[in-house]
Amino acid sequence: MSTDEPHIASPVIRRAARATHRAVATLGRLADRGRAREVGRHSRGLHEGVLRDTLTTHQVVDRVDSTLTRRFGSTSRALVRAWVDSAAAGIDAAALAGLAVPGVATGEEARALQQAPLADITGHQWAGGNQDPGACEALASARTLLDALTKACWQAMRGQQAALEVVLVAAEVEAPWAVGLEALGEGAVWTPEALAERYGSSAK
Amino acid sequence: MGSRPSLSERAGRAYAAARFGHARLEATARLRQARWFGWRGQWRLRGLAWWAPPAWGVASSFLLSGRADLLARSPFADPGRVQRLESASRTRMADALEDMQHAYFHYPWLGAATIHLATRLGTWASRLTRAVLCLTLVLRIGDRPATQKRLAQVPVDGYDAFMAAWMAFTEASGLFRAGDVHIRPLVLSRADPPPPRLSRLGVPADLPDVLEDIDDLTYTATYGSLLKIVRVGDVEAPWRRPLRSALNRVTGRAPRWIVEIPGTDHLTMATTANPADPQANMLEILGHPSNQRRAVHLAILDAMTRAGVNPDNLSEQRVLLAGHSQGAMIAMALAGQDDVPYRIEAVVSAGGPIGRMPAPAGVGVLALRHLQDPIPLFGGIAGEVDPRIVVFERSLPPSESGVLYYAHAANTYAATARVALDYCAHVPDSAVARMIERIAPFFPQRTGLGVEPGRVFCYELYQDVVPAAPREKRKP
Repeated sequence: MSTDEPHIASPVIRRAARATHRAVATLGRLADRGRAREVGRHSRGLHEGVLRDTLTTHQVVDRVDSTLTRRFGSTSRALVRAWVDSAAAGIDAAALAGLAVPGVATGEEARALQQAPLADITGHQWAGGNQDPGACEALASARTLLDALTKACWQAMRGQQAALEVVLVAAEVEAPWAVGLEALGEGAVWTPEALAERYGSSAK
Repeated sequence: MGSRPSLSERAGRAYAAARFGHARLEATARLRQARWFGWRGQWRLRGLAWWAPPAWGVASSFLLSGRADLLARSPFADPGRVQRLESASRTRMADALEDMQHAYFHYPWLGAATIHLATRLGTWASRLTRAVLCLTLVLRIGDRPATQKRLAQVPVDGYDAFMAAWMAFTEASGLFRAGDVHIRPLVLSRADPPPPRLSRLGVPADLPDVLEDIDDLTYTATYGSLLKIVRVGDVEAPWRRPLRSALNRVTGRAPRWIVEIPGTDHLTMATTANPADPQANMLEILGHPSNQRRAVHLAILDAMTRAGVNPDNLSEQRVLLAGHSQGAMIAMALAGQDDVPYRIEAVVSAGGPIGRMPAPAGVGVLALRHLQDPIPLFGGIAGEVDPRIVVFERSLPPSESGVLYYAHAANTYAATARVALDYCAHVPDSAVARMIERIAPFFPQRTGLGVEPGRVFCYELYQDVVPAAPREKRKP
């Protein structure tokens, strides 16, 4: 559509339309008292709080950040970042620190591994072919923890039909394996159907 | 009326009852029509009854907000009380919007009634405008040719008139300011602006995969609208392409295209750089080309050029267009255009408002719909579609909150597509099964050498936002 010339030629109609729009916008601003509109934030905040409360009861979790995003046309997504105490979780950070972190998993591999049944995955696979047994064990432990936390999130958010993305981050942020574990979570978005298939949808 | 249902219809009903309980599948035109006429008789009172609680919620939220505002102006106000009032106002508004979503979800005829109301309003506005213009012609007031031209432009159809009036108002108020549209291939390694975090970059294996891709495209859209085009039967690595081409010639399996078109990006009326906007919705409903349609067409042509397709062979390129919501309208409109050089063979609509679009000749159209999703109704009265369009409809169980978000999400349509595939496996002699069979060859086939590869092209579509027109000055 060409926008070089206005389609509504009559200046009277244009003025009337602008005036009406300004009046409606002014009413809206008065109702909102000049603040950004916060529609829906209340319910989103509730769900985000539920997720935080659920995960922080886990003894190895230090801190949780959760964001529930609703976008009309796509599934609601909850992005959860859990900072875990690696020593308490039985994850040998030193073993992971020696690992070639970029080789851990690409997004596609991470999704394939994360969605496979736990019993089918060995630490060796999880480590992307790395032969170091310590690293394999540490990665398998991290994977098990990720699975447990994802399940907890699903149980807390089951009725919301939201997709989940759970990312583990080392509480000691300086540890290089934090990057690797984040890479495991990146791109591994769980759809509500996949979550229901894996963790069940009836019992809460 | 009263004809005996065919064997496949009965098998379909038995399957639906056994497998999904209350779910309705394969909605026939007769069933949809009967449902609409059934609903029409009862919309007035029940519509008011279901509108009343959310409307009161919105009004009381405004009242609470106003009360907090007044209280805050007083020097003796208790800040804690003001904060409590504001919080109560926000809660009331959130609850009202949830109530409204639940009303539309649990009583789908409310959506049809809303569309019907808009049509009635449009009809009366159209009649009034035409009467005024006719009167000016009879009384010989003003410029006669200009009035005659205006009279010819006023839509007679009520829904068209409503949309045209809304569009005229939005344009006149200076909100619609779309300029030229552009496309650019998506480079995920770029730093500025940050690339979208797409998590699905692979070749879709089947229809549900396509709709999950669209969900991802919708969610990650940033600066502009995203489009994914897949050439099935091609490879990413340049050195393997001659080998693949030779293999395709031997097997007689020509490459084909799958185009995934996401829906409306935002519902804000003011134009942004993203062309998948409300303006595109209105233009497509009124049958005019939108910037998004132009951009999708340009991107398909660009992908074909990048894939090395000879311009003389464009007519041999078989294309499957899959669109969600507005994307479905774009797909239908492109399929109906005579001047498109490539060959569109099938269209899949997921929750698309395609009620007023005829099924293009020679193009198979499959429409997936949710009974509780009101968006397909926006295509026209009660979401009726051309009888040549095959409709697969599913009734959804409610989620706890954001039910309309859930009912319209592309991912929920992906689940419906899985149900459709399941249904077709059980009821092969059905229109849906025939349509699924028709689109199946577009997806990678399993051969002796493994699953066919594909090449993925991702594009960003964006438009210019022209400066606001200067305000007209009053004549002295």
